[in-house]
Amino acid sequence: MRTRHVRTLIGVLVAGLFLPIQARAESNAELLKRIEVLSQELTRLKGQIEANNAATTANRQATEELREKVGKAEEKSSERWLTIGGDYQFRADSLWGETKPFTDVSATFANAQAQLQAAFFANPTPATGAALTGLMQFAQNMSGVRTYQQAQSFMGANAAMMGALGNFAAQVPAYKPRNDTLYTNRFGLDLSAKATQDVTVNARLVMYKTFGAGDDDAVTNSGSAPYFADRVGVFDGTLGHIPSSSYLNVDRAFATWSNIADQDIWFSVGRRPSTHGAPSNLRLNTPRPGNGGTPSLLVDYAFDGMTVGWAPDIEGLPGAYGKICYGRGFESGFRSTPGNSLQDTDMLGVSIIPIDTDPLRVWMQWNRGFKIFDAPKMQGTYFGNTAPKINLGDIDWYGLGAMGTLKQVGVGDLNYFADLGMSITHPNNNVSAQFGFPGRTRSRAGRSLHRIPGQHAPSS
Amino acid sequence: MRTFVSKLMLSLAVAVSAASFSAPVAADDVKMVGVITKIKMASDGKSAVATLKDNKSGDSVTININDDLTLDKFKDKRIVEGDEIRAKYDNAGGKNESKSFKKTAGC
Repeated sequence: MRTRHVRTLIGVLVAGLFLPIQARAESNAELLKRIEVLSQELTRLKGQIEANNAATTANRQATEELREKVGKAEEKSSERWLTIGGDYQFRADSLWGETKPFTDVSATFANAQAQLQAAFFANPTPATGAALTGLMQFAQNMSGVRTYQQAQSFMGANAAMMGALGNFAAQVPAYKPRNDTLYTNRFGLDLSAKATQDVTVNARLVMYKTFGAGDDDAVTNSGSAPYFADRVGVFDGTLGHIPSSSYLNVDRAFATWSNIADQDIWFSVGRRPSTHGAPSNLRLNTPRPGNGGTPSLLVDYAFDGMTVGWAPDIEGLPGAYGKICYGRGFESGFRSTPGNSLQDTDMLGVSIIPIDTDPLRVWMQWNRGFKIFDAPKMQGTYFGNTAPKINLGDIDWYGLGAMGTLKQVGVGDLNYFADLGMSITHPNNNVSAQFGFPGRTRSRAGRSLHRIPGQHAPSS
Repeated sequence: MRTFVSKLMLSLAVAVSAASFSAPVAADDVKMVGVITKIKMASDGKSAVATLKDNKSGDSVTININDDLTLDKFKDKRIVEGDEIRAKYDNAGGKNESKSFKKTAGC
């Protein structure tokens, strides 16, 4: 019995020895299985990560492409390269005044012609015929006068005729003209297109008309003697600046190439911004003209021309720049023809602005007009249909001015300016027969001072 | 009078020319031309940060502006986003302090 127990015990012990080995073998298999599962999971995850990476790369590429497309679209978008602006002005004027008695020269000639013709046709005698022929000869000879000496000779030789013309004088007594209400519309459309990075094209189209009229009669006195020298008629230099018609005229159209040679140098050509320069921007309540424009006291005339300018970076002179301008005031057409002795009228200008800041802007300008014409092309004026017929010589213009804004003076900001101008003529001995021989042989100087102590603008 | 005006203009032209050759650029000054992509005014209106896209490199450059003349132009919209600017700034210490900030010239 004892032996059996011992054997049983030994058997149990031996069996017990084998039991852990079998359990360990099972655990290893399980581990291997788990490792295998984990490996598979790892492989799957790796695959996923690779797929994600690929997707991220694709997304990044897509984003880049999209950004590029958006950039290109932005470059092409009209918002980026085209700026549109404009203005509308309604103006109501009430005009009245008083004239002095004067002799209407045009009416005197017309009166003489009409009376002599009537006398001849009523009574065609040698005397009335001679009077009419004499007047016609007088007019023909007068139109042939070209120089100052010829004009003096003509007046000497025709003193009797000129005296006789006094008998036909059309006297205009003093009167009090008035226009209680004159309404005008002005509409301007401004376009600025950035053609390339450094080339900009600017245009301003303007319509300026009188209420109830499609012509300039209301401001030029309908062909009668006008009241203002700059309201005789509308021509190339004033088109869009005098009420005339409902047409949208090209006031400005010019292309500017900036940043030449990576410097602040520019070249600009076209119908120039040569109107409404400083300091007239104060009157018009428009921004300062910047690098464009000319002092309004010297030039307020729509020119076709070109400019080359340079704005050096000078620490002590902020905003300083200078420019040379050229413009054509009159194109005479083909030369060396039997019927045309007129020459082109050109303008050259040098402008130096040593400082251009809000508190102070200073300008110095010199212009020379070459071969100035005697009259612009205008239709239906008091003087009839006028056109350039002769060149009268050259004119130099000098200008010196300053303007600025002083902040918080009294009730608001104070704008000030002072402008000095001088013109010196260089006549070429010619006279204008169509205007009664204006013209000189000697140089003359004229001066003007344009100043307003101040103009207040409410503080913003 | 004519001689006086001529002399005056000549003197001023010479003065401007002389001034243009007597302003050396500091070592840390950087000049660039670029389009404004963003203007951020400080709440007190006494400074602003303008971001420009350099025309040459295409990089964005942030410039700090403290001068009243330029700040006034920001305030009354004489300089706005989209304007092309010729700028000069001091980048000492990476601060990019504006020394000149004006629209590119031309007209």
